[in-house]
Amino acid sequence: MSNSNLFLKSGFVRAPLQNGVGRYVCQLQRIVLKFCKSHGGSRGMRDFIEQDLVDFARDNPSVVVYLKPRRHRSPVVVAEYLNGDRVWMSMQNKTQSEITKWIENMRTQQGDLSAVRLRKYQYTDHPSIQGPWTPFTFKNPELNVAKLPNPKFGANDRLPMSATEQLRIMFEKQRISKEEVKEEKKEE
Amino acid sequence: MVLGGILSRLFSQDVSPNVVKETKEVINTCNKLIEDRVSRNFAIVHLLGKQWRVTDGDLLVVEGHWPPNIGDQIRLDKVLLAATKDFSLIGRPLVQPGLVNVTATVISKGLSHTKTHFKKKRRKQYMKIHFQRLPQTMLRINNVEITNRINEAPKNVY
Amino acid sequence: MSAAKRVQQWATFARTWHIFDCKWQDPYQSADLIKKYLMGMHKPIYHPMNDCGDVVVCINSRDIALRGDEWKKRAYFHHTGYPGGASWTLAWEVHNKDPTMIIKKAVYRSMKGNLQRRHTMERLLIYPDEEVPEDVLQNVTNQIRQLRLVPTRLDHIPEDEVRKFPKVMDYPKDYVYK
Repeated sequence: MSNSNLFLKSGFVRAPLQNGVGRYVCQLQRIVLKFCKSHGGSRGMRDFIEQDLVDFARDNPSVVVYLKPRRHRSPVVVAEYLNGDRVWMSMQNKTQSEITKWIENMRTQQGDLSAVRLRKYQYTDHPSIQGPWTPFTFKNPELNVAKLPNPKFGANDRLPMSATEQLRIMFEKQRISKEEVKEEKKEE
Repeated sequence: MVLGGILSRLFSQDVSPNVVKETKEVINTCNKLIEDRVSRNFAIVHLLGKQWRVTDGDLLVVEGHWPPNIGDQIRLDKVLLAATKDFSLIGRPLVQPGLVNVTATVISKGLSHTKTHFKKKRRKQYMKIHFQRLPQTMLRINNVEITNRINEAPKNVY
Repeated sequence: MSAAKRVQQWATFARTWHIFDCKWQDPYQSADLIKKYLMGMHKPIYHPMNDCGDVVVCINSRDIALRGDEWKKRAYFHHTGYPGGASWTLAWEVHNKDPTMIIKKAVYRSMKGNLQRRHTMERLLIYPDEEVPEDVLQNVTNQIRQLRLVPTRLDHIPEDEVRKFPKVMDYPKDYVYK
């Protein structure tokens, strides 16, 4: 097992500029739609532009939308993010609903998530609040001055109750206590 | 199965006045610490079938289909344990509903990198690769705070 | 790393020396317990690449208790490598020759057969009786609790306690025990 021939870079969870701590900023900067006005592969793209694009632009005022009609070129969507990532995606022969879903996906991402394998799914600046664990955290402090080996620390204390113990407890429960004897005497 | 050793020595009732007084003192100290907001809190929260240890300002990536959209403020209700530097509140299994307030913001929703699920049975002409991109949601935890006092009826009851 | 963080890491990864009394214990049951401490599985910081295992000192390995008729029946295999070098030795013979072998083999067997096993076994120290070298005893900070109950003998209990213990019935004074 070596890392030298792995092409997918690994990284940890990050959010640019403490996004979400104060206010939340949409990470998509601009989106470029390149399509052909007549070719069949751009049909879904053209339908998307006619029907859903204006609503998309109105709902996301922070995103700049560019349209590039180019003859004899396949339809493509390029999304650029605030952290500099550039995501290129081909929309050739995709239906309008598929294109809507992919563009929605690009809108909600915060960069190119397919480029990095997340090593852990959490990130904290404060991994320990009650103090990091040491071997002494949950130990009995009497061990500090004890002379080991000592049967007090070595004997098993989690055994099931033996018959002798049960009998002893039954005996103690049914025993008449001194107070009850005194009460009986008072009543008399 | 009743445990021997430990329990048989403790079978005398534990509602003696000393113990009750001590418990009340402990609860009062904890309530004072809660009101003064001395230290940073953390909580163990149950979300999408998994349990996460969560503090203010930390990021969480959750896999699978999850409806909340980007920019939504969410309150995580299933709190199993809440703790500060000095004491912890352990729920059985959940802590009292109004006691702990954990708020989060959804930061990003996208698809993960392509994961390859490779299956092969040797010498049986069976081999397939399943490429999968799972939807991932990233959350930023805004706040973990203990809002009410312990052992008292909560203020914000629904 | 800052000085405070260095100290904190040193405290977290500190190696503890545990002591375990094998008197009247089943070696295979105790081996499952001991191997956890040797590998570091009892620590929340465990990772196989972490080298977080602790040292375990076993004493009284001569007083081990095997179950049933295992002393007569259990055989340990050994091959010298040369042709005709296979030998099967019974448990009581092995124990007479070397009282520490049985528990050593038990712990070795309970671990996974990976390359870390030989290194982890180096951390296990076994002594046949209570005599442990001074420097080893000085390092010991914790005692591992035994698994089986070691019953106290009736003549080791003080007489007053025996007399005070509640009786369900008692034989008459002129009763003749057969």
